[in-house]
Amino acid sequence: MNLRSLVVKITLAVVYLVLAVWAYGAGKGYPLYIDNTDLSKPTMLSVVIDGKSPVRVREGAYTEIMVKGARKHTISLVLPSGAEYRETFRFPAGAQAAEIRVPELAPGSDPVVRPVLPRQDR
Amino acid sequence: MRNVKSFVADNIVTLIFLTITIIAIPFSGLSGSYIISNLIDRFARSSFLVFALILPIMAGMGINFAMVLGATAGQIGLIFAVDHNIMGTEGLILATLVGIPLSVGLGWFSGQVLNRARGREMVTGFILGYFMDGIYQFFGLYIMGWLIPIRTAQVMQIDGGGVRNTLALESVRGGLDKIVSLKVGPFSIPVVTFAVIAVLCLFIIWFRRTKLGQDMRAIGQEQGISHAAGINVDRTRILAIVISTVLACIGQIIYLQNLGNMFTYTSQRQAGYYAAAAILVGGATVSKASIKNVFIGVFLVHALYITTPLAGKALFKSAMVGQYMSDFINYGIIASALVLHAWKNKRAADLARAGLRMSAEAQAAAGGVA
Amino acid sequence: MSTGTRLLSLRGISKEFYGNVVLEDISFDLDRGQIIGLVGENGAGKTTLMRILFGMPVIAETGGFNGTIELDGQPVAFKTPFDALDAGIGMVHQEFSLIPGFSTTENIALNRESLKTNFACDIFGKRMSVLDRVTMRERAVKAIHTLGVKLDPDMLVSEMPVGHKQFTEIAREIDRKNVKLLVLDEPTAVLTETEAEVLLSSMRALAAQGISIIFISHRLHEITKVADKIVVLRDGKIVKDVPVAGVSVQDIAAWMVGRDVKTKAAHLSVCKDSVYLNVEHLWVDMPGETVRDVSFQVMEGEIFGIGGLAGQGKLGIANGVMGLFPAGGQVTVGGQDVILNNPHAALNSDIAFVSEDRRGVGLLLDESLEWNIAFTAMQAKRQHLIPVLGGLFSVRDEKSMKALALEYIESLEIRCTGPRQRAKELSGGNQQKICLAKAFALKPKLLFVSEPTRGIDVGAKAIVLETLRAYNRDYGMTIVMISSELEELRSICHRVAIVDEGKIAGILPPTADVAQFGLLMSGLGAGKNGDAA
Ligand SMILES: Nc1ncnc2c1ncn2[C@@H]1O[C@H](COP(=O)(O)OP(=O)(O)OP(=O)(O)O)[C@@H](O)[C@H]1O
Ligand SMILES: [Mg+2]
Repeated sequence: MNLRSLVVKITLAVVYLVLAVWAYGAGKGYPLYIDNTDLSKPTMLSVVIDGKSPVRVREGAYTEIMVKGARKHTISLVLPSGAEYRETFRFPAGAQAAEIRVPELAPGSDPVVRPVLPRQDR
Repeated sequence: MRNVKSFVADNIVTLIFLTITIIAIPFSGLSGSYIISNLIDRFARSSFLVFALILPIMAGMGINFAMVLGATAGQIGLIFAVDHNIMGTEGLILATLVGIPLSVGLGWFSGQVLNRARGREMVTGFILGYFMDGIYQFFGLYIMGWLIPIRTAQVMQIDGGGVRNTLALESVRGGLDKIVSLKVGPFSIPVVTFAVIAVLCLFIIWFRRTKLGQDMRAIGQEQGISHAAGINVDRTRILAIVISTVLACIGQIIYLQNLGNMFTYTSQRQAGYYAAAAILVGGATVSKASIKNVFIGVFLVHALYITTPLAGKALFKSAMVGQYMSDFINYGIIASALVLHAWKNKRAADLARAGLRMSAEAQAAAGGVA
Repeated sequence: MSTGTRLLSLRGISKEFYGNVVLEDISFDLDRGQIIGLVGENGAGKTTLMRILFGMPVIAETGGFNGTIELDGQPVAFKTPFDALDAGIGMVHQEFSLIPGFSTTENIALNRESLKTNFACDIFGKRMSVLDRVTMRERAVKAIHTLGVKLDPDMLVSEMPVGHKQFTEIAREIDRKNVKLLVLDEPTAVLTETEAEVLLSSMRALAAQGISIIFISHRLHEITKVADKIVVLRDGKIVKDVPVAGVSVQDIAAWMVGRDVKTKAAHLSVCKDSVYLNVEHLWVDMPGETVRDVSFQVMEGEIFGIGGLAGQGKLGIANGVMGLFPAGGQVTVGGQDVILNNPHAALNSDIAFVSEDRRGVGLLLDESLEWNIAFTAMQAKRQHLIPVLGGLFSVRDEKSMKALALEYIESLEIRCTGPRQRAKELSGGNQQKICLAKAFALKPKLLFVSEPTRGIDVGAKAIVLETLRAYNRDYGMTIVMISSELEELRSICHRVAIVDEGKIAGILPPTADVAQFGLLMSGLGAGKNGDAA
């Protein structure tokens, strides 16, 4: 009984910690910058990440969207014409923030996600 | 006749506020569906907080105004989650996991203090809340940003000193409510939030049937006799406060995830006033409370909050009057319930002093403990 | 019934409270399965001796005691009552220790509940176990059965008549697994004679199972009936320690008091012709003492007795008139209607009431004796107060309070160190005398007294009755006295009514034959009303 209770207590403590670590990892928000500054093909678009509510990105804009967790995400672009492109990408390991250039999201090409370096390194 | 009289005497607070609501509804000019959808939202948001008050009442410690300490712990958890940029449901889980150990510690501390202030638990709890405010402000304004670095600009005061007065909780907003949201006609129902509340109800029902629950009921009635029977009265009282504080912590997190922003240094205090008012309006006394009291109280108080400002405005042609109404409700209820309680206690003492034994009914009317 | 093996020996126990010696060199032995009758006057030190045995904290707080206690041949010194309980000693105190809002079962199993463990126990300890109410109820039913009484295991204590509370307490002690010794401090004081009979036979049954009992009572015939040996205390010393065989009640009384106890011949006042209290078709819903339909008249200046068996409703009458239980019917006092169901109304109309349930409720235990006596008079009649600032405030008139207290200390022979002693430091019997003094101090026109001599020793009993008689004679006070002791009623009443099944079975003069009273009580004399005086 005493041993059993000790085991249960330790298990519980471990579960508590694991849950905390998991929540920290899985819930951590990372800024993803959408770079729409390439004015050779100006378009306005809506960006939807992981099925969340769409974010509108104007032509020539550089917008920050928070994504939850350093894992695989889906990103989809909805053009004003109604055409929609859906791609998956993986957040670069170890990066605090990342950047996607809209032209590189064009259909056919794999999205290129670049880590963004912390400010003080510039 | 006697029964009607004692029913009115027992439920006087509830009846008064029910009457005010019924009068206020037509004057407010609000539609039924507006009121209902608001009620659903507010019910999900705030009933958890009110449940935090049941156990200390059961243990004879009155309304645990020191639940403010638990709410503070919940806010610290949220500040942590937001500052570390933990989003959504995970953010709420993390805030809870951070808040629980804090609230256990704070609950243990207030239990100790309240044990040293027997018979004056409520006013002591009140003061304890203010004392905690001081520590919390010191923590939020000086320790944070100095010993504990603030990572996120949105959390920091504009001048860089400590945590902001108003903190946006956008990143965790709806982290519970929006997991599953059911649309029924014009109303949307936060299913998971209601499930959490249901689980809490079951917990309370179960808890009453445990040995600890039975001991709390016993010490709530007769501390001396319970002590003589070998119940560790002090420890039981501390446990009641600890559980209450932890529930207040979780309740405050649920409350704030629904609102989506928090007044860092005052929200916890509002939670305390609100919960006390709600449970008293629901017909609880400082010595007797049930789940039913919580439900009735939460509905009634929010019906008042929704309708009276507009009704006040329509009646007195002044928006200010409407605003005063909600303050009046909060403080008025607490004050009147406490006065009524003191009156009933005095009456009970008078009867006892006259050397008389009261009938069971009279004892119930006096709120259990004579 | 003794098996010959020694269970308990007390050797040279002495105890003083701040220089006031209350026990001196007490030694006696107790065998397994033996019942000791411990008797002595109010304040002789019986309760104090039992508190020492039981390790009650008051003893250590007031300087401890001298002497040794041996249990099963081993010297023991209990620091707390819990040690005593663990060693197998159960005690039923003179004051109740029940939780009012709990049922019989919950009280019997208080802090010894049957539990079902579950997962949460592994994390938070065994207090998270759920109560096993079915087993608890079985245990309660079993303990109640052992006692041989009728108790509803689901009734709330707050709704119980006093006798049931007492049985609940005893059942709680029996429910313990290892109980070897039961200490019963005046368990029968709150019981009616029939209830007491039941208790006595259950004590015999417990003794037959090998449980030893120390039994304290002021009803000496109970002692002679149930005890194996008798220990008499007088002023803190043992004056007799003899087997009970051949000892008569008169012998015991003489040993206790140290002088002859004689009751003076009745010298009654002559009551007036006018009706003072008129009760018509009264019903009272008092649990266990239901009054169905009672009508009677009491003359001005009369002492009217109400007797009858337990549970027939005699206690309900006074409680109903005083507004303590739901009641209906017509009650007039001195021509004025009494509003029923309202305790204040009764108090304001110059009626005083000494309830049969006096333990704890009647006294402010932390206050001084003089204050307790004067309090009600101060509240109800604004006596013993000095107006200040033209009557805006009033302060207690210490002098007149003290005089009042001294008067009663003397007339009722209250054993105390002075009027300033706190009520809780008095012995049980002396506390009850204060309850009486409190009501007397009101000098009401009409006094209801319920069981006035309960818990009061043989010597003091006569004094209490004499005082009642004197108030009746000197102040023309009309008295309604309710008692289960027929002899007591017959010795001072002008007329005695017997209540049976919630109705008055008949009213007899005190000179009537005992057999006639017996017939009325057993329900056989119905319809044959004796001539009302
Ligand atoms: N806590 C106390 N402080 C001071 N004196 C006390 C205290 N408790 C009891 N006494 C005194 O000790 C004496 C013996 O009291 P005790 O209660 O033992 O009497 P008793 O024999 O049980 O009488 P009764 O038959 O009236 O119950 C009394 O004179 C009482 O005033
Ligand atoms: Mg005693």
